Amino acid sequence: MSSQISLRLVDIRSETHDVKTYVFQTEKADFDHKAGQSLTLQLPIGNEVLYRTFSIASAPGAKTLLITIKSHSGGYATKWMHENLKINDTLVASGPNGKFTLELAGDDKLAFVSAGSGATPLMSMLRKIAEKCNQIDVAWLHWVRTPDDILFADEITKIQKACHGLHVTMFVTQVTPGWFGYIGRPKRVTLSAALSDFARRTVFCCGPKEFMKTVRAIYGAEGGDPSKFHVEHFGAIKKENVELNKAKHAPMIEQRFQIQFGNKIFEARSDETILGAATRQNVVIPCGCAAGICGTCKVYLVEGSVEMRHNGGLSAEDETSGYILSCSSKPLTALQIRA
Amino acid sequence: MIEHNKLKNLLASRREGWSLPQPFYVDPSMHEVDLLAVFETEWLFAGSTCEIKKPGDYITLDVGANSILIVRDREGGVRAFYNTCRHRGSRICDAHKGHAHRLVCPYHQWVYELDGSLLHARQMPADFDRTPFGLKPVHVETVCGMIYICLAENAPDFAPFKQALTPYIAPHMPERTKIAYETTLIEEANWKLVIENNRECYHCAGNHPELLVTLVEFTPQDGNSDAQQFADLIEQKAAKWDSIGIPHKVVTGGREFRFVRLPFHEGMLSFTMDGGPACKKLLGELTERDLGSVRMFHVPNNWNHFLADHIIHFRVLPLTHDRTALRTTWLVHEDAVEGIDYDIDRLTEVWNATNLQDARLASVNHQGIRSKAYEPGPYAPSEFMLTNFANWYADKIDAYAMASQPAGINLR
Repeated sequence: MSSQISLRLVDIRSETHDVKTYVFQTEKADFDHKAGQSLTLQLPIGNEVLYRTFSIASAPGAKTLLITIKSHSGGYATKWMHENLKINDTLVASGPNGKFTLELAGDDKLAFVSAGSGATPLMSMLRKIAEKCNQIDVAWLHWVRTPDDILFADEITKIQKACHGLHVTMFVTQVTPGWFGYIGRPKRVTLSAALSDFARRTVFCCGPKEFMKTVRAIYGAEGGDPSKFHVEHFGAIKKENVELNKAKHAPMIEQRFQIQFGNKIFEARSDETILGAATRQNVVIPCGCAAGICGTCKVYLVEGSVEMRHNGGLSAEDETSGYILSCSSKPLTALQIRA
Repeated sequence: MIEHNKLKNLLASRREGWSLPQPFYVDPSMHEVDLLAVFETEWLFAGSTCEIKKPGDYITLDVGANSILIVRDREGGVRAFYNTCRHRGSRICDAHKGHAHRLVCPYHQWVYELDGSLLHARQMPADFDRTPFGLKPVHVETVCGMIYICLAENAPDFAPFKQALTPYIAPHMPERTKIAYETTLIEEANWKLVIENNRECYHCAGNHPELLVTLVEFTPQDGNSDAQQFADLIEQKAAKWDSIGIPHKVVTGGREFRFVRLPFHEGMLSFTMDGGPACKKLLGELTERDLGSVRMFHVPNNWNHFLADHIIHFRVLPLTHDRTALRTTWLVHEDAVEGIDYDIDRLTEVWNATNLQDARLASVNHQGIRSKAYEPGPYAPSEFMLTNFANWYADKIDAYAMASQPAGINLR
């Protein structure tokens, strides 16, 4: 059940030069999540509250709740967190959310495939299944920029030592002196060399959208069953996205695009959201928060392209399948959308 | 035996753009002429390199009376020999494929090395010089996982074909395949009717419901609205394939070979009853499933389809003037597992059905041509590849007639 909880920060651990783990105490004694789920934090930045969604890295039932966060170079909120959060601060959060959980695994052999901080929901899963060490059959393929960016190295090594069914393979994208393991972005030839039965495993994949798209294509090409490929994604959100729903300085040339929604046609300016334009012209698109969180205004983009900045209200699954949130999308072309 | 003059007269009576005069198809003595003029002068498709992966693996095939043995040698090369012992002429390898540590004649056990040299001939005198008694070699070339042989003394230049085809097929990585299934069908028709039938899809709509689930029967040459629609589809897929470095433009090498990648019907991926994948594991290192198929034809005996998930090779060999052997092989990724990645029935269903339909068409075509009512008929614009084939064939016969004049052609 998703609900609001209060989190008290009890520790901050430095994982790498740009990744920190925040250790929280939950105020609700009965709070629990499934391995792989996320929380949406309310961050009081300046005069406003920003909603940011992060995977929970700790296992369900753990004494403390761990959230591991990378400070993205363009990331406004994550940078703020790294610079401002202090021990004993409290944050309001809602959750847990998400269907990217171990429940999808069944009894299958698993492949975890991640890039960068995409490792965090998988770490929650690993921490959970490591409790039954002798039953593990997990191969984890993880991509990092350099060996220094490897997350959870000590803990994974410890688990691997105890659980013989855990096989971890690291890939670096930047050639580094002293590194003799795999190098380069995911390619079918290296991935199948590293894990020859990749296509026979149920996959949990987390990382940037393009990364997951590539891995999904490789999985399909290797003969994997698409229904056993699960993805999770939280992108870096830039500062200007916060301004999306506010009027910015007037555009140099105002563009207008025709939007077809089912059998209704309306017009949207390039500086307003699809939902805003629809509402203005009495076209009803069912909606909730109008802030990219709840996902009620989800529509399928049949044709055209949009600029979308949402706040975690659209699952990675839906996003890669072509859905958009109309409250968080501005038209770049004429559009055809449907419910 | 056909008199030299009769051949010349038949060629003279031929009309370009029309089917061939009757004797070319149904005269029993044309079989010998075709073997000499065509099958003993041209590069012939013989089989796949993946059939002979290890040293000593071999395949055999019959070109007329000549049994040919193709073997992987100890250095990993592919060699071809006449499958005839230099002792008293027995065939050495009897199976159509197999493995031999050395090539041993079953009759008196003369032993040949995989490079064809005679290694041992028991009970021959101590001073017997084995050197001149190696197996007689046949020209052999490999390209894109395919083996071609040539029985001519001097083989035509293979390089232009090899150079053009290699980069085109490279993304399919045919050297990393295995044969999932093969069939040989004996068609009751002259070999040229089997080839002609393959060179046009004018007949497809009325005969190949399974094939047309996937294959577009029109050519942009047809000049109707369907053809225009297909041209649009080609353009759309071409842009996609260009963006991922997949070759698709038509390549022709005179009238000897032609290949082009064409899209299937929108949304269709492979030759299956529902147009869905035939093998879950894609070939080589491909990650894109929608690659249509490369249709590759090489005179006189070979057409092929290269898809993202499998390859099909077709090999035509004349048995008599009115019987032709069609061997079909289905190749999938070498690591694909039967029952998991592919199912033999699903993989082969469409072309098994199509082959049987084509065999019937070629046979009734042959029967009809035997009638005294037969006279050559005109090709449709969509049958332009038949005109190419007939012109090429006429030139082969003409060259042969020129070389063998003036006394007529003797039985060998």
